[in-house]
Amino acid sequence: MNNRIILLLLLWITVGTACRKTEYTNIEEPAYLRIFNNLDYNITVDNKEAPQPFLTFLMDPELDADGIPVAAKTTGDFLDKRAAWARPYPDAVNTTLFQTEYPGSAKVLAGPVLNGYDLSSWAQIPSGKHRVMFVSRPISQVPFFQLPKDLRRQVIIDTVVDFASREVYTMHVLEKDWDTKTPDVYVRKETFIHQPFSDSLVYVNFYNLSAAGFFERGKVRSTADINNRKIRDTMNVYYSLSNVSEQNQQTPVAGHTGVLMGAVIRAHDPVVRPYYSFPLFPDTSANKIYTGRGAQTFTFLSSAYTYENNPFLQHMTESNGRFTELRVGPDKFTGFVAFPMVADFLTGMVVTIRSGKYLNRSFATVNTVEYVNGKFYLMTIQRKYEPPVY
Amino acid sequence: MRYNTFRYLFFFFLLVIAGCRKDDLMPPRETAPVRAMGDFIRNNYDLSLFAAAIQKAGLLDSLNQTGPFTCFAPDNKAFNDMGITRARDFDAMNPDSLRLLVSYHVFKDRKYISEFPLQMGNKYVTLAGAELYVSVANIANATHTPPENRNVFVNGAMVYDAPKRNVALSNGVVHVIRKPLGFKPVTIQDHLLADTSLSIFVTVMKRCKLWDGLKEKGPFTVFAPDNEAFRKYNISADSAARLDPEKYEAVAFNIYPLALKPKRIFSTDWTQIAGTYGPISSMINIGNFAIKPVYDYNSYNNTENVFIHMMDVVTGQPSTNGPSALGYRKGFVQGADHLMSNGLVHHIDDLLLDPATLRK
Repeated sequence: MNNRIILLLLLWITVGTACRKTEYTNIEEPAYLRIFNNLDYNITVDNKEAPQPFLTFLMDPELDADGIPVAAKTTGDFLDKRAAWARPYPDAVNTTLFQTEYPGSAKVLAGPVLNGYDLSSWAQIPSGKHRVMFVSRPISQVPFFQLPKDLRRQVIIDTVVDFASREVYTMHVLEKDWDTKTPDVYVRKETFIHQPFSDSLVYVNFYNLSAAGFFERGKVRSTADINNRKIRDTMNVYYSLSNVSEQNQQTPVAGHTGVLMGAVIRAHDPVVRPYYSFPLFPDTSANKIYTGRGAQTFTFLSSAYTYENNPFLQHMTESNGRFTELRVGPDKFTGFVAFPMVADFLTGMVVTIRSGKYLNRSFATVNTVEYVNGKFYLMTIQRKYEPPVY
Repeated sequence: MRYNTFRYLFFFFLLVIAGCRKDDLMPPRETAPVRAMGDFIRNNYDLSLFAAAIQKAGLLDSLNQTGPFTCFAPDNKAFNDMGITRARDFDAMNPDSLRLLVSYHVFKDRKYISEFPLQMGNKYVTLAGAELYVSVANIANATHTPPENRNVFVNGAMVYDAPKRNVALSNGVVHVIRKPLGFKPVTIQDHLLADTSLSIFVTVMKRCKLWDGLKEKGPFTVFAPDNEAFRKYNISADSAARLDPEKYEAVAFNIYPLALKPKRIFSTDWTQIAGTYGPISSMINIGNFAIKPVYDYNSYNNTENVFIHMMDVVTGQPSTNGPSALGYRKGFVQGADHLMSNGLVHHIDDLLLDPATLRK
């Protein structure tokens, strides 16, 4: 009898303590936000007192009597210079402190798969009008709100942004003017989730978000450096596809060499530029599952030249902004271009991953190439794919 | 048998008694008190001249107050290089300006070296009311250096390595610096006018219509050669007054106030940012010339190498239009980094460019 009471008591305790109520974070009417810090100046004697391009992003900050932020609804701390490739999958699993984008590895409510696009690199934020602040912070591992008060006051951007519900936003901190280094915020409402994109084409659009006066007065290279790192404010872009062998030798894909895509114009108006496309399986001999090791080369030429009459080669002299090339390709495949970039380990802009019963299966992506003050950045957005079956 | 038991018991109790020693592990309540800043400086052999200056300025008691303070204290070597070798030498100085100078070395907060952000020109308001500029360069791999070991400069004065930095005191912290900080609450124009050995430079600035700009807000950086330097190039007070700037390329004379562009460049900034091997584009570029102020400190031998190089931007070589290297007048400690309300003045012992080679 006694035993039974004790057992019941134990059962009761077990039942009582097992009931944990988890409150899931839920944002009604979310907008999706991803932030890049494009400030990338070197400190020289000329701009030595410019704030360090190492930022904290604050949304709806709470200020004290002296106007110094003491709290914020959303904080993106340790926002360092952006990485050359913004990957199509989130940084959330890594533990680095310094972020190349927001949300990066911050533990936030990430975006869902929306209309077939993986928004896990976007953070969910409540839609509506929000005060957005960027503060230049010291380069250290101390979280922003634990810094002494005098190190929290260097606010470089303070503005209000209106976010519409269930829309995707990419926010950039940019340099408005090359001479004054005035920082500026640029918020682009992305349209790819609404566009009828084919899943057998790879899409890419181009922006030149350089500072005003960068081409005229900017210095990106000393004489010993790589040529052709500056482009003019208006350029045309041509794409070329090539297959890359295991020995890292490339062979052009027939019919996909020097195809005109469109114009790239330097501007800071947050308008989505048209998307251009190339086929996911350009090589007719491919098996339509894995496109094979491949690279994409984008040739930028000023409007006076076409791909056919292009007189410039990278290993010749400086073209003074009339020519440059960006090559997105596999690792260790360099070639001789001004901007080699490693995106997908095998296939550049095409994401190749284990899916279904296939070890390597290629998927089309939507890409954004941004040229900012002498550097190219690529953002790849992945589309939904079948999970692997082992 | 019984005998043995007693023996065992005896040793057992002995062990118990011996094991029961109770040590008083509490430290004595009164440890030596950490001294206040004023007392520390007054009792430090290496800071005796700075202590004398503080005493003369009547600030010693203030530095024993609660604070907290951060003090950049020039050591005796720093004052010796200024020509001050005895406490008596301060008597010749105006007590008000001495008070201002001394209070310019202290600001009200406790800042250890690791607390200065990786940034050039962190501003702190001193007890004198004016700002001083603490520079920590974010050079390559700077984040790998422990923050307390970084190279830190205050207004062009080097902060010595440990143990001469981060001296923690009851009411603040002392960092020992290479040279006294110069500050005058007047404009650059007033400073240049007050110094009769710069009269030719003043005339030249007036003739080139650069003079009025030097009373504006700035901040400006001015390299001011003295009269002797001008005479070396056959420019006397008389010929300067008749100087026709139209006959020369603009850079020949507007290089001295850096074309009145707002810049605040201390003598150590370039080396701190670029090391000693930076490209020409990292130097102070004016027209087709670049000024490269070098401050090279050897911590092993405690020696320093300070000079100004003139570079030709077109050829990438040392300038042939005048001297390729020159120095600060009366040495680096006395000549460089004179901070004014609207910028700073470096006194130099030669012209940056020979005007005769830059005739149109």
